[in-house]
Amino acid sequence: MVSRLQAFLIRRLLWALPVLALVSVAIFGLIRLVPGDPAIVMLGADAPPAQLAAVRAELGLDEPLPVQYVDYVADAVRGDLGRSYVDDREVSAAIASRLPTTLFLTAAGFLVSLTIAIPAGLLSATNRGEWLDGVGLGFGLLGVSVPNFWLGVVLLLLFGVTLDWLPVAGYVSPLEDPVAGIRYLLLPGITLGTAMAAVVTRMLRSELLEELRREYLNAVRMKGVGELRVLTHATKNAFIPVVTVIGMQFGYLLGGSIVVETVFSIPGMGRLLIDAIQSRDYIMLQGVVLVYTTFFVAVNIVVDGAYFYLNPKLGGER
Amino acid sequence: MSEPLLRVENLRTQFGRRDPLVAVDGISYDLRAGETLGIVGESGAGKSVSVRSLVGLIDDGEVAGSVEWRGEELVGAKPRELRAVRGSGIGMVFQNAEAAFDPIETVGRQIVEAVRANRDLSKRDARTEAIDLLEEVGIGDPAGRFDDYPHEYSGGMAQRAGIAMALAGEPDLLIADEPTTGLDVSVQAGIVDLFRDLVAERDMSLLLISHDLGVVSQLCERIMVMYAGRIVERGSRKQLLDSPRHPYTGAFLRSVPDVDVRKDLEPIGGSPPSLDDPPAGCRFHPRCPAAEAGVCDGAAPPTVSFEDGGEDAERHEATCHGYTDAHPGGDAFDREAVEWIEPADGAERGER
Repeated sequence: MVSRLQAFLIRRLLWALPVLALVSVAIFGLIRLVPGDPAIVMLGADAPPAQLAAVRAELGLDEPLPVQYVDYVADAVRGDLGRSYVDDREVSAAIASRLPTTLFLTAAGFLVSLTIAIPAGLLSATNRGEWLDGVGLGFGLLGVSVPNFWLGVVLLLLFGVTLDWLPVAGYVSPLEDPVAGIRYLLLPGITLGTAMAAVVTRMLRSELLEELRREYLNAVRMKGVGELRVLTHATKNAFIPVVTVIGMQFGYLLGGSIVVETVFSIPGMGRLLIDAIQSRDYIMLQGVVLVYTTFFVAVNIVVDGAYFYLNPKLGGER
Repeated sequence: MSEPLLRVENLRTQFGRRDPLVAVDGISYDLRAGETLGIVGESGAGKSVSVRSLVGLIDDGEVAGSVEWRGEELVGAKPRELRAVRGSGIGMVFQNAEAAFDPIETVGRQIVEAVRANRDLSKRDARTEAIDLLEEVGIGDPAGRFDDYPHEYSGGMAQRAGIAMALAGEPDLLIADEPTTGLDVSVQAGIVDLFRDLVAERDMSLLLISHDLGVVSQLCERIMVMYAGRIVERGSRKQLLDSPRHPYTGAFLRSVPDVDVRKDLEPIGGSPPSLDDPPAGCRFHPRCPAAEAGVCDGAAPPTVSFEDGGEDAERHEATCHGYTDAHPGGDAFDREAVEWIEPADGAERGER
C-alpha cells in the first residue's frame, strides 16, 4: 500500500523525466548552435584538414545530429559524460571532484540565509510598524537590490583586506579541516545567502502577518496559553507557503554560486563552467549544465514533497 | 444575593484614533453564577466585539470602562492575569468552528493543549480527558476522531469539538459567539440541546451572542437587545417575548420566523446605522415607526423600568423616548407598546 505522499512523489518523479529530456535536448542543441569548431579548438586553426577531419570523426562530430544526441543521452544515462576536448579529462570525474565544493558553498549560503531570514521575518511581523519592522523591511528591500558580485567584493575588501579577519580567496573542505573550512566559507556564504535571506524575510513577514489575523489564534488564546504558544501556531502555518519559496531560492543559490565562486576563487562547478565556456570545451560545458539542471529539478521535487507533507489538507503528515 | 461572576460597567470599545468607530458604546450588565444571558441584535450591532472586549481579544482597538471577573479588573489587565482567567474561568466558543481550529494540527492535539494549559495532567491523562470531552459533546467514536484534522470534521461536528475545546479548562462561564450561525437548521437544534445539557450538568454560566432570537430564547433566561453599540432593552425571556417595550425589540420579534404560527414576516425597514457616524438621539429613530421629530433625534433616550412578569421578575428596562412626557405616545406607549409599533398604526402616530 503506497501512502498519498509516496504516490505523489512517484507521480512527481515521472513528471521529472520529460523535463530532463527537454533540458538535455536544449543543452545539446544550444551548445551546437554556438560558433566554433571543437576540432580547431583542440588542434589549432592552422592544423591540416585531414587531421581535423580525423579528430571530428573520432569525436563523432561528423555524424548527423540526431545520432550524436542519442549517443550522448545513452552515455549520460550510464554516467559517462564524455571527455574534455581541451585536456582529455573525464567530464564526470572533473564534476565529481568539484561538486562537493559547490554543494558546501550552496549549503553555506542556505544556512546563512535562513539564519538571518527566520528571526528577521518573525521579529518584523511581530513588531509591525515599529523600528524593528523597519529594519526587517529595509533589509528585505536592500538584500534583493544588491548584486552579489558587488556584495562579495565589498565583503572581501572589508573583512579580508582592511580588517584582515578572514581569508580573501580559496577553499578548504570543511570535511578536512572544519575550522578553516568555515572560515573560508563564511564570506562566500554571506554573499550568496543575502538575496535569499531578503526574499525569505519578506515572504515570512507577510505570511505571518496574514496568519496573525486568523481566528484560530483567538481560540488558542482562549485556552489560557501564553503568546509564545500563539506565535508557534501562527509560525507553523505561515511556514507552509514559505517552504516553497525557500526551495525555489535554493535553485537560485546554485546559479549564484557560479558568480560567487568566481569572486572568491573557489574551485567549484561554477569555475569549471566558466573555464569550459572560455575554452569552448563543449563536452565539459554540456556535462556541467546537465548536472546543474538535474539538481534544480531534484530540489523542486523535494520542495513539492515537503509542501505536500506539511499540508494535511493534501493528505500528508499523520 | 451573591456577588456576580462578571460585572460589566460602561464598557466602550472603539477602533481607530481619528474618526473613531465606536463599536460598543457604554454597556453595563451583571452575570451571576449559573445564569444564562443572551445578547441579540442584527449583525454589526457590536455583540461580538462586546464579548471579545471582556477577555482581551481586541488588539487593534481600545477598550474602556470596567470588566470585573470575580472582583478582578480585566480591562487593562496584564497578559498573565488574562491568561489565568481564559480557559479555566471563561471559555469561548466561536462562530466558525473550523476556522477556530489550527488547520494543520489534529483536533485531538488542540484539545489536549487546552486541557494541559489549565490542568496539571500528563500527556496520557490529557489525551484521555480530551477523548472524554469529545464524547461528552457527542462526537461518535471520539478516540477514532482524535487524530483527524479540522477539515475532516463536518460543520456540526467541528462546532461540537470547538465546544469541547472551550470546556477543557472547566470554565465557570462559557461565552458562545454566534455558535449556530452557518450550521444547518437540523444541526443547530442539536447544538442548542448540547448547550442546554452542558449548562445544566456543569453548572456553568452562559453568555450567548446571536442574531437568532429563537436560539437565544431557547437557551437564555435573561435577554439583552443590542442596537448600534448600545443595549436598548433588557429583561427576562418572558418579559421580552411577551411584552417588548422598545420599538426595535417589537420589530425584531416580528421579523423572526416562527415554526408554530403562520404569520407574515415584517423585515425592519432601512439598515443599521454606520457606527463611525451614528444618528443623534436614539440611534433607532431613523428606522422607528414611532419616532417623533424633535424628541427622538435630540437627546439620548432615557432608560425606563417596567414592573411586569410577577414577583421574582427580572429588571425590565427599555431605553426609549416613547415613555416620556415629551413624546405624544405617553401612557398609551407604555400600555400598548406592541400594538403601538405596528407599522399601520405607526404610520399614523409617528408623524415626521
